[in-house]
Amino acid sequence: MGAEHLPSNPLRDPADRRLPRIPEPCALVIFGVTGDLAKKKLIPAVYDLANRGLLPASFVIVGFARRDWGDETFEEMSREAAKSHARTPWREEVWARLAGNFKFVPGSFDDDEAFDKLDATVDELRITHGIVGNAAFYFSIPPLAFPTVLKQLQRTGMSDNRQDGGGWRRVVVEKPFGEDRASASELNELVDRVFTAPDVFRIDHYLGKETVQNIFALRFANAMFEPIWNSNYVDHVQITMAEDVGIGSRAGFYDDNGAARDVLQNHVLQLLAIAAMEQPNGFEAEEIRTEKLKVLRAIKLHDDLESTAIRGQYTDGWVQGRPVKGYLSEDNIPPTSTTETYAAVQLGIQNRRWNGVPFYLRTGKRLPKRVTEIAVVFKEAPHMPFADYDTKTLGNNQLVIRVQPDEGVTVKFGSKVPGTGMELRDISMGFGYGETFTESSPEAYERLILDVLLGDKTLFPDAQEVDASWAVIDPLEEFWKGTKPEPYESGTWGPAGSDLMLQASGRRWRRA
Amino acid sequence: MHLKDTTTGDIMKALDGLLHEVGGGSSLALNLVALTTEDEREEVEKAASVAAQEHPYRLILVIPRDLEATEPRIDAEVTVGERLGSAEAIILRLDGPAAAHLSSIVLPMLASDIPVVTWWLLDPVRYGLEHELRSFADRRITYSARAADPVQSLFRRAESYAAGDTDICWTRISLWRSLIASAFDGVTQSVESITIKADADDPSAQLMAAWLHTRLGVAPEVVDTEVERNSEHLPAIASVAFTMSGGETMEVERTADGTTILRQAGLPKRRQTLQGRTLGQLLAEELRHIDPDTAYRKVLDTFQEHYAGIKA
Repeated sequence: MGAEHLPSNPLRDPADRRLPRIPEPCALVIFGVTGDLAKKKLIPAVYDLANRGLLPASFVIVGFARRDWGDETFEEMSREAAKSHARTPWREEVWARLAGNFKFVPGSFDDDEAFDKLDATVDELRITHGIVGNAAFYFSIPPLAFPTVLKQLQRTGMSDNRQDGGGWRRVVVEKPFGEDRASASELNELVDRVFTAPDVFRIDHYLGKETVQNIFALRFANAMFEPIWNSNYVDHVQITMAEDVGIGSRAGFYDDNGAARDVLQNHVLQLLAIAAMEQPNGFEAEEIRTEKLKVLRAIKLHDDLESTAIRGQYTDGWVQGRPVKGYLSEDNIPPTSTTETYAAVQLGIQNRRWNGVPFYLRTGKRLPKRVTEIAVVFKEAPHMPFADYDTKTLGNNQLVIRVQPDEGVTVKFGSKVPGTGMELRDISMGFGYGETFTESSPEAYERLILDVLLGDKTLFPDAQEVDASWAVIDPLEEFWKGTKPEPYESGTWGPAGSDLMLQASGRRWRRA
Repeated sequence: MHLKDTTTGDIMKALDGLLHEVGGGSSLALNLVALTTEDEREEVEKAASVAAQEHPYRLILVIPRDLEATEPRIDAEVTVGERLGSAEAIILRLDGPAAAHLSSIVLPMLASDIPVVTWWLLDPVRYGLEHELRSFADRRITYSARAADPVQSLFRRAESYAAGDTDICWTRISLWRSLIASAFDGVTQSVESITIKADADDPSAQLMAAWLHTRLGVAPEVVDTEVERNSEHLPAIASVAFTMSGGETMEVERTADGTTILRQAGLPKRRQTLQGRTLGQLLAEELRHIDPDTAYRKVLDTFQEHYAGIKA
């Protein structure tokens, strides 16, 4: 993976797995470096990478924001951020290695002069810090500012380094990638034109999680799961991404978008694609993308959206022993808002493997707990040599991939209750990452930033996937337009309509 | 729980009892069988508890005690999640012929299906146990720097190498190697000559030379230098310098406090930090890979082939 981007180095031997993959000398340029994402995730992740010895000897962080800062102030702010949010223990000597490699360029996004200065700064680093022209631009900024910054990068020539002494230039964008299919395509077109398509990294941080990558291992490195991973054995699939928190400080953004655009379009559909895709020919980015894209394009919404596309909005209630406000009483939310904080939808995947298997997806805020899981629920055993009363508490077999928290896999199956009778009951058998492997797996951002610097795109959705995902969401938004979401009490598992959706076919949501 | 003059059956019963009390199934990744002495026990236990955070294992710590005794005797201590971190641990003290028949005691104690790693700080040849330990291990970890004649000990390892062998002296140069490899990214010239300033009696320095020789096809000159180290588990290497085909030079130099400078022609000098890791961290790195380390094998072959030349 990604090795093709590295020049051939005689000291690197693929069989020598102790030598970590370390990126080439480079600079990471962060736009919006004073924001929460940069402070809580990006800069701490850089420190954690340094701590694990995964950064190149020549590595510079360049901050760009509207602050009257010098390099020292920026370095001090970064130090504080890394110290309070890093995953790995704080070691002064690790920081000392990064110290002196912080540059700050003040300015706003429409300020030509500031971008000229940024261009000059990055060029200088080639000589002063030996970054040989390599730079990744991280957009930790509101989506509205994307086009402005992209145009600045194009104007100054920063996005294309081929004429200018060589070295790669990459861009990292965070979700949301547009707000519908049309705007996403416009944005994709712009960013792919300013940079080149292979140099654009769209971050979906869920894909950086160990458990999500483990789905590939679980499905394609084992003999026992794949044979039953199809409509012959699977009754239905449930994907849940629940949060106990409300909208926090994101009122403006959230009210414009809602749960379907914020979460369903990206994280949940990506989980679905990985859980449902065919086996790729290899583990190269392109091969995985091909299979994910096929699944995303095979998604079909139910004809009856009235009962299979459910929206909800949380009302006053109690979450984890504390009273919480309803959505309409949150700060900066108009009392007439019809934005959903919960969305549940039933989909089908039109291919042979999944013919007739419903996929139920749900996501919401102010639900009882924070949990993300993929549950594959199997069909009932075809023949039961047991009496009804022996098996009445026996449910379907189930395989649950726990993405977060408490990452792992649980299998549920029936077993005999000890005693003289033949009473059967469900038991669950678990595998916990934390128990069997390292106590702390790398943060998703650590992995993804490293992959960007290495040029490995395996874990990044591309423009076509984004487009295919919007093709699923757009009809839902169209259908919901002008309707009011169904209220649900904070701290419960969502609106009644969502339960009815499954009950219609004799199924029910599992308690996640 | 302490068991005096006991049997493997009673030890396993005690372990099952403790696991039952703690509740829940345990998911193990490995069996780790470590051979040690009473003097080193604390050091080994400390390292094991660190590595256990990353690799939950069943630890079987074997301490040969009174080898002169005529009657075999087993004393055992069984713990779960106490001073040995999250590991399930059995500490065995063996007297007389019991020690010589180690595998008959250890085999029934291994958790089924998962790999077995053996690890010893001391030289098992001393106890005639090497064969016993080899018989059931998928991987064997040694630490030749601890031997009376470290380089000679590594040489013996090279001669009797079997797939799955590894040495902490190799583990402890990973960070050095990674730093050097990173400096070579983007370098297009070939290497003319290499000079390593190191303690020539350190097996890690020899492995460094052998690695560079294997990968670059140039035999490094090892200049015997006294190296001040601020951690026991650091390789005794002060600097590695390369001269390229174009006459340019590149050098990595570590000072006693850990500051490491990379000097490369045409680039500003860059500062890194290279600190020694604890024995537990080194053990954890070793346990990450369960299959034979073929890269190490090649390096060991080069070391063996050129050993006489370098030593002289």
